Amino acid sequence: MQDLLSGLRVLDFTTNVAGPVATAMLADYGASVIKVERPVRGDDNRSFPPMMDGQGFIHFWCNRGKQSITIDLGDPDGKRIVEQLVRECDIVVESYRPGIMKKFGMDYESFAAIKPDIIYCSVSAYGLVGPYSKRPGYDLIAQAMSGQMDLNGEADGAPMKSGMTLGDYWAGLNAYSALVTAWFHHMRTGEGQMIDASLLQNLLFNNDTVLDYNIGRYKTRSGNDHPYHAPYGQFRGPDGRYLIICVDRDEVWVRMARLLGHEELAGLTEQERIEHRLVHQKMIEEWLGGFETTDQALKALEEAAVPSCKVSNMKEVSTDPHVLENEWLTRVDLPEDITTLRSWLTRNVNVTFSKTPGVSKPSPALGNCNYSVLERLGMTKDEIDQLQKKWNP
Amino acid sequence: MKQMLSDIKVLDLTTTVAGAGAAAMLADYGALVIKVEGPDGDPLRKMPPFMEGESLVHCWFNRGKQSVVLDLETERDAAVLGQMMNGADVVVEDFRPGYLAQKGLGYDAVSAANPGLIYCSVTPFGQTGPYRDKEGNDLMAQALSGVMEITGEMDGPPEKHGTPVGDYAASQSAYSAIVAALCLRLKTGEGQAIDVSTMRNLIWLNSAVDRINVNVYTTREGNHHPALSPFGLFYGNNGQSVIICGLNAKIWSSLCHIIGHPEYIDDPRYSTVSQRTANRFEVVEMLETWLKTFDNIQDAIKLLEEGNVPSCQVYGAREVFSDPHYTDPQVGWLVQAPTPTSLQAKGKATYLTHSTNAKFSKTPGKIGRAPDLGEHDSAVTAQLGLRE
Repeated sequence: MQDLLSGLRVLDFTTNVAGPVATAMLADYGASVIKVERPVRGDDNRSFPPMMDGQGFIHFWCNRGKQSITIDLGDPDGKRIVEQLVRECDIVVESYRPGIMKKFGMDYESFAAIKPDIIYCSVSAYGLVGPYSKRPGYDLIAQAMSGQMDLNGEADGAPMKSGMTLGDYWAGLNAYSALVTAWFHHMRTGEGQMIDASLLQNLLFNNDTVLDYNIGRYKTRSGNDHPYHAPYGQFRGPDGRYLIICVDRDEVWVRMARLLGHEELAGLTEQERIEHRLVHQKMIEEWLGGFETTDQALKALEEAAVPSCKVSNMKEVSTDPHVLENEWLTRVDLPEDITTLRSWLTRNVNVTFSKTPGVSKPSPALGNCNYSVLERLGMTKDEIDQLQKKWNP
Repeated sequence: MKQMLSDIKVLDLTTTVAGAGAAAMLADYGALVIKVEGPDGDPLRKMPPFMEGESLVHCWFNRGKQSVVLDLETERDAAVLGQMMNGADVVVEDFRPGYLAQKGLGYDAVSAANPGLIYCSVTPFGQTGPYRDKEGNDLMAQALSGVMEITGEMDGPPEKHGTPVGDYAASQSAYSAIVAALCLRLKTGEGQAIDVSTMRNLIWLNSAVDRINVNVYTTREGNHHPALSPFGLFYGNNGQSVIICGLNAKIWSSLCHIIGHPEYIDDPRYSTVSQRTANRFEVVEMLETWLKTFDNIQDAIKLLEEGNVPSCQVYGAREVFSDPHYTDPQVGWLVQAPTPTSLQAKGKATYLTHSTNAKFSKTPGKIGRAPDLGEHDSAVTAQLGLRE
């Protein structure tokens, strides 16, 4: 059986996180992705900590499934090679600061002159147009300017950044979704085009406070409580760990009231539960105090069919029986030049397909496909060696 | 062919923002999306905020769709849905796992009659595993994926993301999975089942999980980078705050001049990244002292920008929706989109909302209007050759 994206050929100029995540997803699902890296250093993310044997973890995941070639884009010989490769690819993805690819003569217009039906996607921090586009790109700035950061944290506390570089990783998923859409269109019509995808636009797109804005409300953070269900939020367990309890309808509240030993409160309406939120929070935390561990309390909640769960730490995520049984983490080989570990446990693909599953594949050592890719263009091993030496004296 | 997904027929059986959002993106790019609602309508129609009686949540998450009403608890309507599935390209559903299969409307049953069908299920925990039948939601997915544990002050509790990032990321995963499956179907004619889960998507976004390989168990680090300084959130007056990303010597030098303390450039406490990081709370204090001399933090940012220090204000909703950049037609990220018919009748023809999630130079998408309940009953009934 073919893969979802078998036959799709991608030329990947991305670095860092957002762009590489998008092209890695194409690789997950069967596309052939040639990653064009700067000689000597390669992708910036190869040096992002945590590192192992001189290579960054972020690179291992963000560049999974790709073939690496090293090309000096500023060198005419490099440009010639790129132009040959463009003829043989369907999609180009880049994530340089807007204007850089144009300087190399490798923007959409230049490539469309070579291959008119090319799909060309730019993944940037703030988009390609307007006063923010040329600024240095930071996930933290995108989180802040999208209004997302303002929504995290306690009501009387600071806006909190996400513990993830949410802007970066999510932009990868977003760009991937745009790419497969353009590819589908190309398959039906033969038409390519230019795609502008960015961290800031994606975070803004997913900021639903625009809805409240329409009725004159400026929504902001309110801690972990739900705006219109109670009790529904985070609670501190007896051992200092935290748990989530979600009472979102009366029948669940009846069970919760019983569990708390306060059957007399079972008839409270949701409006009343919201009004008594703080009182109930105290009540719940007192009840939790009667257990030795958060896990024990969760067992009682589960048995009473009250939707609840632990706030898992990273260790618990990786040993969660649901994660393990579903193989949401998988063991993937590390490149040959990594010796401390020969494989690592990492995140598998993002969805399950019944017939053509994707798979997280190993990442490439820098330039590992210089020979295989460039020989296909007609270069000899000697020519390739000479060029690489020229770029890496 | 006007739009990228023209002529793709989608049945939308969803009742959550995750599922509805995925189907809405298909509509954005031209698919024909028929929302099948129960007699009481999609629960999203009852979610605040409301504008003159209409749910804006429904306006946005059900944009561009048609609406038919079927009561799936009746055999007759379940059979009608089966018929509709026979003629569809895509089904998007977010019921509890097994609910549709119980009615003979699961993937295995319907794909027998329609082998090209792409059948996408979106749930908090997925179709398999110990949590399959567990009731869940975005908050629980945030908790179980570890993203809450790593968000918040160093000495504070875990914090959820105020946006339901799990649900919204699941929407994009489901949407893109459906389109990728459509790509393969063009070649083989075959469809398949797609299983999307919120918890899985958040784990997938959470790169901290990978660090377990070197026994690093990430937890909360507040708003300042543990290994770089200055890099994080800094307070000014009046609840305003800024982000400053000062990664190198040149920026530190510029910053010291801007805040009027050039002597800090070569001060051994602050002259290198590692020194600044070791003394980062002092760095935070000196920058916040300076920021607090401004009533309007934008004046501070102007100076930072002139000094080439990467920075920005931390935008609340007020700042987001008054930034002219986002509504500028050239940028086009925020647009006026059509409201439902009841609001049209009241003279509120549009509302401010998002444009499509990315920009396409030749075949842009379009944000459509949300349907009235059962608005397309007769059209669809006629199409199926059914009689009342």
